[in-house]
Amino acid sequence: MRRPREYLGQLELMVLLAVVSTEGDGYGVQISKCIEAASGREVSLASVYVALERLEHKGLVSSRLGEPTPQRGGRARTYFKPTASGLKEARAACSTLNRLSGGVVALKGKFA
Amino acid sequence: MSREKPDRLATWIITRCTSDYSRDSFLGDLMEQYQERGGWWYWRQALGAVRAHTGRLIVDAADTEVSATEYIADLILWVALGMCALIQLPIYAYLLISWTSLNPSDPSVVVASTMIGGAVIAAAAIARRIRMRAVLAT
Repeated sequence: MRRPREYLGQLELMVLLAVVSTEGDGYGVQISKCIEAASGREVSLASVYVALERLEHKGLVSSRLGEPTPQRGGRARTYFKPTASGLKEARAACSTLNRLSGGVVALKGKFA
Repeated sequence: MSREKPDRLATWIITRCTSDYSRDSFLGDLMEQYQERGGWWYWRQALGAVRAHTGRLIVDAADTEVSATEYIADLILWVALGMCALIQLPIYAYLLISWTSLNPSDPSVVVASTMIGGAVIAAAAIARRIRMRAVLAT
């Protein structure tokens, strides 16, 4: 029996936010590039897919298949978009992080 | 290291470490990026797939609740099978001697009976794996 996890992991949250920012047109490569651009670190595409699978399993994102292309070896892209619960979860997580970090003196100036 | 097609070994590793659900899209994404980013990048992604797969196995195990009864039943099963395999070694040896014309002092009697004992344990391990898979799937 699977036990539901209470909080999103760091990568899950980053992937969810990247999916939200791509507004329904995000697929694996685009989502990983979005995270790389924001974090400045390379992220493994496999980790992004694992996180996307988890998010979809939790009902926070939904997916649809695109058209297969020869450039991709005849394989289709899977596009992801956030569900209503996904948007709610993303807002709640960002709000919690902002509240937590807002009062920490050691972090002052880091977000400016 | 950049070629027209990515390394087959790297692709095999990736295929083994991705779920059926996302394998096609994932391989398509890698193919799309391969010409631009090259073979080293592809190999890094293969190693990333191994790491992500291992991480997923650990998280899935941590997220899976198996009741105390299941754990105890599993433990009892293992102890019982281990005991049976040990106790039965002389029985296997006796059967071998009576069914074949081997001399009781022949070293092959010891080797063969030990192998039968090992086979019993292996069969039990496979049975346990099938049983636990059914338990975890519920």
